[in-house]
Formats: sequence, C-alpha cells, structure tokens
Amino acid sequence: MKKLVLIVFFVFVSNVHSANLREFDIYEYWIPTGEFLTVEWQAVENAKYYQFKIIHEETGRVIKFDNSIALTKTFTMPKTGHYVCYVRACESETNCSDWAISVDPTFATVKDAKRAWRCYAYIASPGIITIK
Amino acid sequence: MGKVKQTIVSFVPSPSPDVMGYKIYIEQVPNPVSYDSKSYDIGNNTSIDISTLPDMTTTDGIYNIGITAYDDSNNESSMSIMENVSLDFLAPDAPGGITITRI
Repeated sequence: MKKLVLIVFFVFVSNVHSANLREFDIYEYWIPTGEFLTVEWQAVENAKYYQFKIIHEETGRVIKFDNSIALTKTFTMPKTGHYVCYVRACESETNCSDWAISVDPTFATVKDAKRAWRCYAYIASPGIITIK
Repeated sequence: MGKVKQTIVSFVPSPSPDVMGYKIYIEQVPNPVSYDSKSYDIGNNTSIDISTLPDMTTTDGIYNIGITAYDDSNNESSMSIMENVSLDFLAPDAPGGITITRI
C-alpha cells in the first residue's frame, strides 16, 4: 500500500496578545492555561484529512486528538506544563503519513523560519485586588 | 479589647481553569511583598477578612499585599500586588470614667 509522504510545515498562530516567546534550544510560547491557541499547517497533496494531537510532556497524556479536514486547529492547554503538537496527513484510516512534530525544526516554523517550538502553559495570576 | 472592624481583601479570580486555590502574602512596608513573605492559604475564596487569619499581624501600619493562584501541583502564578495599604487592626482605647451630673 502506498504510504503518504508528508511534508507538513506547521506554525503556531497566537491569538493571545500576551504570548511570550522564550528562546532556548526550542522556542517556547508562554501562554496562560485556558487561553485559546491556534496552530496551522500546509496542505498535503492527496490528503483526505489530517490528524492532530497535543501531548502534555510532563505526564505524556494526549490532551487532544482530532481528525480534521481544516488546516488549522484551536485548542486550550488545561494545566501547567509543556505541550508539543503533532499533525499528520491521512488518505484513509490505514494510510497516514508519519507525524510532524512541533519540536522538529524540519517541520515547524517560528516567524517564518524553520524552528522547533512548543508551548508552556502557566497558571494565570488573579486580577485586581480591592480592600474595604 | 475593642471591636475591630473587618478588613476585607477581594480580588478578581484567575481565569485559568486549573486553579485549586489562592494564597495571600503580606509584608510590612518598606519591604516588598514576595513569595518569601508571610502567606496564608485561603482556598477558593476570592474575598476574605484578613483580620481573622490565624497568627495574622495585629500591628497597625502600611502593608504590601500579594495574591497568587495555585494548581493541584502547587505551581503558583505570578503575584497580583496592592502596595501601601493602610491597615488598622487596633481599636482605640476605651473612653475614660463616665460621670453623671445631676442638674
């Protein structure tokens, strides 16, 4: 059976104005838990749909797994920690490409340059204090 | 011991869904409030009478107050701070001897 050859380039598209970019070996987007984020990727020829998943690194838990015909996915990070995004193209249930991983600079981009990235979710601080 | 009025500290809750509770930090001016300051776990409350906290200072003065949110792993948020808060915990002395003058 023909295996799809995937060259997915995907990118973090922040709709969070306060996102901080931290430059280590891997770029880290620092986002509060519960904020909505969007990633997008390029279309792959012959792909019928895409599979997307996010893994919480500290626990290894898959926190989201979706099939999508769209080229974007919006999600939230439910708890503190590091998150890595995966996407692959599928022609059928049994014919999918390898996973493209956001920490692999072959596939990931930051500001239009090939860069590994992941997200770090932190707990948001409380708001304004009042005393009476 | 007189009747001390309540000192209610309220704050806007953290928007994070994984908040398990809040901590309040207090430090007397001129020291900045920090994670090393005296702290109290106030649970899920977003409004509390600080004069009722156990071992709370009862010294009148100017204080810096900080609030953090924490999750189930005890990760803490950055601190929301209110500086230079005047707190008055001590009631004035009672009036002196009472006399009645018959007119």
